[in-house]
Amino acid sequence: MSGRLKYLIWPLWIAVLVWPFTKLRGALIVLAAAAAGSALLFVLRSWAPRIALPAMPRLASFSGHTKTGLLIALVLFSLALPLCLNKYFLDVVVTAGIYVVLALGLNIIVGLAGLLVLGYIAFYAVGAYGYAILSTHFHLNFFWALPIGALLALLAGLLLGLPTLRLRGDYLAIVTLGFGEIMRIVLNNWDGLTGGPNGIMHIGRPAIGALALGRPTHLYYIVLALIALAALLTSRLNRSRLGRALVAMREDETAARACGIDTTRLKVLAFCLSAAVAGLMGVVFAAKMSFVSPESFTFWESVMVLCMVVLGGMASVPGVILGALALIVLPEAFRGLQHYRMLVFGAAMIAMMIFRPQGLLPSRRRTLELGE
Amino acid sequence: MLSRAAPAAGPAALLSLRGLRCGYGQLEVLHGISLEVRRGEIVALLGANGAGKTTAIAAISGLLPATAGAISYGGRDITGLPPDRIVALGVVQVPEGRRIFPGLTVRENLEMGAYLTENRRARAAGIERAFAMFPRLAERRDQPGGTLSGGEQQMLAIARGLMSQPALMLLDEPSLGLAPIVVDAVFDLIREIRAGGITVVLVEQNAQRSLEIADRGYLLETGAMVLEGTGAALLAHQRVRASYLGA
Repeated sequence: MSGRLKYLIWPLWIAVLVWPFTKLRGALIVLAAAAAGSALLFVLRSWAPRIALPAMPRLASFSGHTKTGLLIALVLFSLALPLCLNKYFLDVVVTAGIYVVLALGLNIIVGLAGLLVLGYIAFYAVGAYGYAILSTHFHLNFFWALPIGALLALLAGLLLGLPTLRLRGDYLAIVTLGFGEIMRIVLNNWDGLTGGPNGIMHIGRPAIGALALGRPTHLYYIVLALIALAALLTSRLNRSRLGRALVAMREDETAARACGIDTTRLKVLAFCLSAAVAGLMGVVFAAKMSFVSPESFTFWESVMVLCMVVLGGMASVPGVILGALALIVLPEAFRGLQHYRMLVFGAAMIAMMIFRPQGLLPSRRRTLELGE
Repeated sequence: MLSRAAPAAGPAALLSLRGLRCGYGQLEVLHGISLEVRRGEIVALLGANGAGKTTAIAAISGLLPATAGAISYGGRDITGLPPDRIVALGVVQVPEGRRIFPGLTVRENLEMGAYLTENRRARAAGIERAFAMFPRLAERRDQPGGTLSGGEQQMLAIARGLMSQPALMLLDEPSLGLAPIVVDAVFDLIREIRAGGITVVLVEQNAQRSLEIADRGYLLETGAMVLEGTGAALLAHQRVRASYLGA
């Protein structure tokens, strides 16, 4: 949608959308509010671009010192956070943290390599069930299970990736979508191994020897460490030669091949890396819940993780983290709205795509590709 | 010397195509073409839109599989090799429409051209050489490729191709869509590249300019070679003059 029209159509569309839930009066109120917001945005954008800019920050525009300061503040804040949260909110934050790492993992293949993967949660399931089975049958320690879960998911990624990554992007989306569904159906029906719909219970919580680390605070710090690790690794990848080759491939695959880049190998590599991250977090999820069942690994979960990557800004590490936090914490905060929260969620996603398709905190390269 | 596109053969051939058939799915674009490029030559490949010039380039660089026939380079059969192996052997393509990476900086674009060079120092040295050869690019080294002008992008595409230190460069429509003064610079550059010891296959719409600098040329019509000869002979040939030089 181009030009000024979108500022007009967007409020109307939202009003039509909420009509069935809110009756005419409510819809009109929503229309007025959305129109006012839209008008404000329009004025800001067209009359005062200088004012509009700070409202849409780009991390790269901050100086080195400001960045370091922000980072230190963020680290201190994250370390101190469990002290000021009750058990419920801590649990929400841990869940959000798991999704942050998942989104960072998916970002490698979707954001950097530019390949649409719709069944990402299947690899998460591989890690979760891998740990669930190994823990209940062999009492495998959680910390040993982390690399094993990652490895299992990586192997699954290799098996799926080798034949399919030769295909064009759209086919990959379909194949991975199918893989996600197959995984869920297998989990549901292989009673002997996975317990079928009942799932697997009494999965071991994290512990080192006799020291139990299963309390929400412990989990929080474990997840925080994994976030730091994933953020560090992916931002390094972003700046590495391999990362730039992935970007080159995303921007122009033919030109990349003409440069001598073996794109199939690169795609498989990125896919396996993504899968391994999901497997790793699957282990954390299984340990946190101490219970897994197929219900946790639906298509909806894959879509959520994909939305986090897109909303935050593809290929941008801070953007993806922000996107994941926004999509988990905000719906939790608006739980009082009940059914409406999904409506608000949908409307927010669409508004994002209209007004800021490059994401909340876009990467410099993405912005250029979109021709801004 | 002017002949009816007979399959040429010679010991000095760096690249030769024999009866190459190639296409997209059911659609065959090249119906068995033969061509020979000798070391140190500039060979122009002419033809109208859709004649199959770009397809031939794609087949040589391994981007498109040949359905029949053989491609040999430096005396070895390279038919069916993947593109990265062919680049490693010293054949590089500068694709039509420049196709630089818009989000990567000039330096990063060059770095991608040297992707197969494992040694970091050798890559850095190669980039510095490219900057010495293209001062305009050096000025814009940290600028994203997408922000360059058309001429600068073409220079970057060629510089990127040179990064792999090729023995044979396949240039696909390097002057397309460029201002006349930039076109001059591009043709000067092609001469310079050859002077540096690199053999060039030049695919061009601009028949006049490319035949002027070419040692030999081939004329491709609807997927078949119809003429072969020296640049001067083709420039003077009735068929070329009538169809491609507007004379």
